[in-house]
Amino acid sequence: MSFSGVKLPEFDTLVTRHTAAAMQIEELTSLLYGELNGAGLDTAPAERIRRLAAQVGQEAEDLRKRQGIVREIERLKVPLGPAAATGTLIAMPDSLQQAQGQLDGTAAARAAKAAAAGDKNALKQLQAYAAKARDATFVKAFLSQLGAKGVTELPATIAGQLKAAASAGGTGQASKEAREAMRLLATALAKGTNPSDPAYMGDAFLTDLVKHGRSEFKLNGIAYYGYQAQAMIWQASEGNPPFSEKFMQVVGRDAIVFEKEKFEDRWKAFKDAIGSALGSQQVPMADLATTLGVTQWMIPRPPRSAQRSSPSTSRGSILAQRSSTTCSMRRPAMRKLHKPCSTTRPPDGSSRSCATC
Amino acid sequence: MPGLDREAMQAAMSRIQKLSDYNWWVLHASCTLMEAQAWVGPSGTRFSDTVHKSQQELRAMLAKAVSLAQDELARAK
Repeated sequence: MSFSGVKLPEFDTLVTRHTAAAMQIEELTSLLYGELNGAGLDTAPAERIRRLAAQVGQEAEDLRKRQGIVREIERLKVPLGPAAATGTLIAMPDSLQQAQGQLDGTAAARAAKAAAAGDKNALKQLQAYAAKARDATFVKAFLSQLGAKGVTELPATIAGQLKAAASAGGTGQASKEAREAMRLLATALAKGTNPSDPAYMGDAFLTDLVKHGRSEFKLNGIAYYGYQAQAMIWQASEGNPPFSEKFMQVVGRDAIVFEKEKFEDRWKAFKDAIGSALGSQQVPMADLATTLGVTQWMIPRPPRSAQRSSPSTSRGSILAQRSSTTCSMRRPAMRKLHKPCSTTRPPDGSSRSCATC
Repeated sequence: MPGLDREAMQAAMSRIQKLSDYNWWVLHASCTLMEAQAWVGPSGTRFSDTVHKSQQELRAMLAKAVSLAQDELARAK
């Protein structure tokens, strides 16, 4: 691919000179029209120049927008293309919209990484990009810079920060930022994992999500599996855009298999004679927000008050849906994977599940 | 519409010529900077083509205005 970008300081001079030219031609238009008209001559030349003035004005405006992106690239030190041989060339996508999307996506990923590394101000910066999450170029830049690992770790870090904030007396602003960040992640992930979306990251990204979903991570000494963190993103999704069939088949299905692998022994114990006698429950793998008790500050649509009274065993499962009274497979993100069974959970909160789940 | 008398037309012609002279080079810097590859890539190339054409057209219109004024001056008595 050939180089696309600008050369400094020539580009800056171009912006200044073209902007000045637009103003000068605009002025010429009215003066020339006045002279031709006053002398009783054909005003067509002035009218044609008026159209040129409008065109040059528009060009100058586009140039200034591009210059704004160049300044941001310099300020944030985010390269948007291959490094040029000399420092005076700055690479950027040809399309202005793509350049802006790529810049924002890269900057947002940087804020996300900083947040994951414990920078408390970074979530606020990330929040500023919430409205961009539907732009495909933004999503691609954001997810490719963050990677499946970053996508997995970020919600965990956010949950950890909320836990700390709650212990310190209040979640207030942190909760608003956390919800926005989770919504952004959910939208980006749904788009980036949908093969029919222009933001699709490719099959390898889905495989990476599975790999990190099964990996063990640590947060302030608490060990968790990647899926327990990724599950918070699924829960933050408002279903628009929805997660794709492909995502369900690759990641969703594996999460179910993984939960079974990890918890089968415990579930068997629940069914054996001693377990039953002791009244033990079939405890599903909990997502991290539930484990840390921060769900209400983190997930955009908190469970209804009626559900708060039900035990966490049915609410915080990585596969659980928001309503705790139906089979966990009825959770919207999982619906396409598995036809929901009709088993309902008793309102008393015991966690009897259907055979499949 | 009746034209200006010769003296007034001479003055008008002179002002139009000045406008033409003053604006003849208005897009020259943009053209030169694009030739110096201030902005490269498909959009940059399109802009470069457009700005060169704009310069040509602007000069053609300035020349046309001057020529209209000169012809009128020649007719004025």
